[in-house]
Parts: sequence; C-alpha cells; structure tokens
Amino acid sequence: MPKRALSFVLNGERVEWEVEASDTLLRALRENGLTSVKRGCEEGECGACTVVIDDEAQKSCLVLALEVEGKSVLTTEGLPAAPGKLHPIQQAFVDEGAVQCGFCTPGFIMTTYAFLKAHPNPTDEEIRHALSGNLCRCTGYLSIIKAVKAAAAALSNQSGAAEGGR
Amino acid sequence: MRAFDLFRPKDLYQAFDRLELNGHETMLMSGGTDLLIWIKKGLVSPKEVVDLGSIDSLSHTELRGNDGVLIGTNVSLNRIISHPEIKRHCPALIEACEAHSDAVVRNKATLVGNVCSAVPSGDTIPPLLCYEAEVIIQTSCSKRQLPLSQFLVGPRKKNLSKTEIVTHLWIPFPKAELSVGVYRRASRRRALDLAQAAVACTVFLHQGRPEYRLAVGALSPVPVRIREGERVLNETYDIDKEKVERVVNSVQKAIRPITDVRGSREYRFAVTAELVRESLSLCQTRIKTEGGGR
Repeated sequence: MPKRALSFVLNGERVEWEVEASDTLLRALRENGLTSVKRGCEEGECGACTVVIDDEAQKSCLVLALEVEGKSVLTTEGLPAAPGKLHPIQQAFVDEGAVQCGFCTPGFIMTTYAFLKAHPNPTDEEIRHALSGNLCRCTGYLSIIKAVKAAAAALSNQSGAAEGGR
Repeated sequence: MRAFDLFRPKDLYQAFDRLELNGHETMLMSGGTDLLIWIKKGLVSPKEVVDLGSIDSLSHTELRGNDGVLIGTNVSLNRIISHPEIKRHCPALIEACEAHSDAVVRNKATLVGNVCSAVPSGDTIPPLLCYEAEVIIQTSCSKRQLPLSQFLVGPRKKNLSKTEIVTHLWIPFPKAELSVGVYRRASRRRALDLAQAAVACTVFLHQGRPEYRLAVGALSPVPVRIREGERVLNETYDIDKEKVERVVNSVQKAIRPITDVRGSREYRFAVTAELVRESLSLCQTRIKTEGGGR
C-alpha cells in the first residue's frame, strides 16, 4: 500500500511525514525518533504511550497516525522548560522519587500535563481518578501522586509569579 | 497490526459513496478504541476502515429542550460525562460512562461506538435501555430510527446493513420531576476492565410516584431490560426486603451468564443478586436525598 502524507504540529513545529494508513500514532512517533513515547501493551491498557493531542491526553496506540492530520501533538520531548531545566512536572517526578525503572514515566507525565491544565488544584481523589489509565509496576503509585501534587503547586506558583510580574 | 487502508470522509455523502462501492470489505470507526484492538488481535480484518471521526457534523450533541438529546457518533464518553443536562436527566448513563475503561481512553472512546461494538459487557448499554434510547441510522437515501433493544441482536451483531451508518443516538429525557439512577458493576479492577456483571436501575418520580426500570449487562448475549422485575417494583410504592428478593429472583431467571476468563457462571449469578440489592438500595437513598425526603 502506498504511504500517505501526514501534516501536523509536533511539539510546536509543523512536520510533514509519510506513514502507512494503518500505522498507529505510537508507531509513527517512535519511527521518527520520539522514543519517549513507550510501546507497552499496545492495547490501550498501560498508558505508557500517552501523548497530548489538542490539550487532551490520548493513548497513542489507540490513535491512527492519520487521525492527527492538522492537529497538535505534544510528547515529553516538547514540554516547555527553561534552558537546561526540566518542566515542573518532570522536576516534581524526580524530586518525589516517582521514577524507578522509568518506563511508565513519560506516559504519566503527559497524562499529568493535560490533567493539571484542566484541574490546576486537584484533590487526591481526582488525581487517582485521572491517573487510573496509567500503570506503574515499580512505585506503588504513592510517590507519583505526591509528585502530581507537588507539580500542581509548582505550576500554580509559576503562574502566580507570572501574573504578579505583569 | 494487519495492514488496512483508511478512508477519512469529509462528510456523510463521501462515506455513503465509499460504503456503496465496497461496503463488504469496510468497517466503520467511531473512536476506534475497540476496533483497533480487534484488528490487532485478528478478530476482524477489514480491507478498509472508514473513520467517521473526520466528519464534523457528527461531532455534536444537540439538546432538544426537555425532550431529549441527540448525540453525534463522534461524541466521546468524557463529553457525555461533562454534559450537565445529560447528568440531570440520565444519571445512570453518566455512572456507566465513568465505569468505562479509564479517564484517558474516554477522551477517544465514543458513546455510539460503545453501542455499535455491541458487546454483551458494553457499559453504556444497560442504562441506555432503561432510558429507551433510539439509534438513528442513515443510508445515502433513507433514514430510520430504531429502539436500541431492536438494534442489538447478538454479541457483536447489530441490525445494520453494510451501506448504513449510525449517525446519532437519541436519548429521550424522562418526563419526571426527578430522575435518579445507578449503574453498578462487578469487575476485577475498577479501571481498564470489562464488567463481569452489571446492573442499571433508574427511577423516575411522577408526582411522587416512582417508576422503576432495570437492565443488566454482561449476563446474556445482549444486555436486556428485566421487565418482570420492573413489574414487581412498580406494583406498589414501597420496597421491602421481600420485594427486593422477588426482584433478584426475576433477574436471575432472566439472565443466561456464561463461564469465561472473567468469571464463572455461578459467580455471576451470585454477584448479580448483590448488585441488584445494592442498586435498589442506592436508588432509594438517592430518592430521599435528591427528592427532599419524599
């Protein structure tokens, strides 16, 4: 089958790729070097392949690459951060020891990114609910939940500081 | 994954043209969270997938006053969950959507897709049966509207020809001063699992008089209403222990659970009894709290 043209915004930059019609977004991203997007179960269960599409978290194994035509896709490679720094969510995961083997981490971080944009001051229950589609076999989740709370606090300080500085 | 071609129509006419040309080799996709897994596992092998997600006109909900809501094929489960009028009129449907998969998959999975997958454990189907939802089906030259109970004919089998598309779901809102409802299910884990048994119970209060409806999922080839149980519930106002057990009996008589990887037939019978008791008790509590002590 001939390859098909795909045009979308990846991590803030427009890209033009050629993909197979039946390629999942997961496959297309990894084949183009975005290896933070992890291939876990490929059945929509583990959440390791989670990316943010137009502000919504999506499991990229359940999205066909051609479905993102004209859309905006964000992976951990594209998280906005100051030069030499991590994004506050990434930093919170490091600080709280929420990373052990690290395989699930990019997925958790992207789910958290979309979640905190919509819910800047979440309760523990809301965090657990939001992360219910991401599996971690190492941490036991508690450090991840702490990291999300810390990230929420850091992001709200950041936006408070930005508003104060205007 | 087995290779297939993908067609992304801009409008329904393009989609109908495609189906009329090679409908027998084509499968429709709305959300696709089931379809892509079925293709990957080799359960289905379409030569071409027609992705309805590219058709903007199917991406909306349309409220028709207090009569009901029309839900386009591309409306995700998370959009249903956050719809205030659906929440007010159809609370059991909201609970069922929340039980489906997980918070991320629900950004992609659609209500119409869940119905059209037509699996016995489809979470949204039992409450939609209680609300007497109707499926709106179109071809290039015709349109028909079918009660959901007539649309589903067996596991993954539905009353839909190869040139037809389910464009919308119509959910009539109950004509009642209060609508309460619950969806309870048994599953091995809370998120990311299919139901072993599921019960939807809705109660509509008409001038203080309750009208109960009851449906079950994952316990028969297609989810079904339990008419005998409803008759027992609606014969008098009050619900006592003896009446609850009569309802449990009527449910157990109506279901045909199987033994599979998720649970045994015996377990499903037992857990269903518990789910029915819990659902009825929760409904009564909610009538009291939401109905101001009626």
